[in-house]
Amino acid sequence: MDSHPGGFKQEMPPKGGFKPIDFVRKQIKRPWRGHLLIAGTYLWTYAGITLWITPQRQRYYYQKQEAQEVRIAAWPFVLAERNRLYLKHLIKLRDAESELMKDVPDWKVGHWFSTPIFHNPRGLWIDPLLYGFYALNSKKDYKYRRFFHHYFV
Amino acid sequence: VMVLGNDVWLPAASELEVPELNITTMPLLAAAHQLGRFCDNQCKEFMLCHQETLKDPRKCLAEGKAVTECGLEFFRQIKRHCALPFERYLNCFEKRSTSYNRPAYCRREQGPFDDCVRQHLGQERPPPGYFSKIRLHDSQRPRPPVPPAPMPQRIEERDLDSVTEPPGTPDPLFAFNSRDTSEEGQRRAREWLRLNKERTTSRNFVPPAGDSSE
Repeated sequence: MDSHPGGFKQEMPPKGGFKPIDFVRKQIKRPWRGHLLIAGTYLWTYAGITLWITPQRQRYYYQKQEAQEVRIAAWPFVLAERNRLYLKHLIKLRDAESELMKDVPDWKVGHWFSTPIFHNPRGLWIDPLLYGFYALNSKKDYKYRRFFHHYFV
Repeated sequence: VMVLGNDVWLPAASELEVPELNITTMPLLAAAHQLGRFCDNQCKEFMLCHQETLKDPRKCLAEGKAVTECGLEFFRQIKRHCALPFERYLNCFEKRSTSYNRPAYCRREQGPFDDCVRQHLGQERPPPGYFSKIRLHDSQRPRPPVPPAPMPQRIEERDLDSVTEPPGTPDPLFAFNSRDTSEEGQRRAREWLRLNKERTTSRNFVPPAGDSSE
């Protein structure tokens, strides 16, 4: 450029000189909103926990408990009917056994040739084993019941 | 294996013929809360009996019949007064049923059903936690006695080191030595097997008649 000989502009102090240097220590300007932001976070969390999440969880657990209570309330009806059916089947089994083994010498119903199966001095109730309970059913039925837990919870 | 002999008492078949609650799972589960409150006393008696008799099915037949009868009465009254609200609730329950059947998914239909039951049967829906908590029941029936458990007889102690069998006593568990390659041993083995052929083949073995080991 014509006004700048040598092709550059020389750096010079501004007009009127530099301002005086302020060497006194000063406090840093902190934003005064920061505390409010943190406090607001805490308050919002507390409000969310008490007003939203806690009742939500209580509702979920209550719904689960209600479903369980439905089964607890219905259980006596099921149990009564089941006991009656169970006893009917046991009568049928005992009659079938006595009929089948009536010609076999030295055979006592419910025993193994005059030896009892279980030692029961108090005369308590003992359920027959599964294999004998399914004596009048097919092997397939027995297997279905024996490994029931493989398919159902 | 059958363990019930002729000395074990089983009730007669006629005693087990009662009018049953002929409903499927869904109506039972849908109406369970109200049904449980309606038949609360009968259910408690039955469960108490079941617990005290150590789960003997023969001992609680009367209480079980009372429970079933009460259930039948409940459904008769529902059918008479509350058929439509119950049917709507049941449809909702059945259609929204999953692995966990929650009454919470059918609150809109449950309201009218509860109101109808309150109006005609005069009972409120049991509060939450009613069936989960332990409930006490005062029954007039006396507690059945548990049979006494006799201790087995004590065997008097003997100094078994001082007791010896006379020499030449045969070992009852020893039949023959199969590794004995001498002629005497082989002859003994063959003779034992010949005499006990029936015992070694398990198919047609019948143990000899003897006194019972009781």
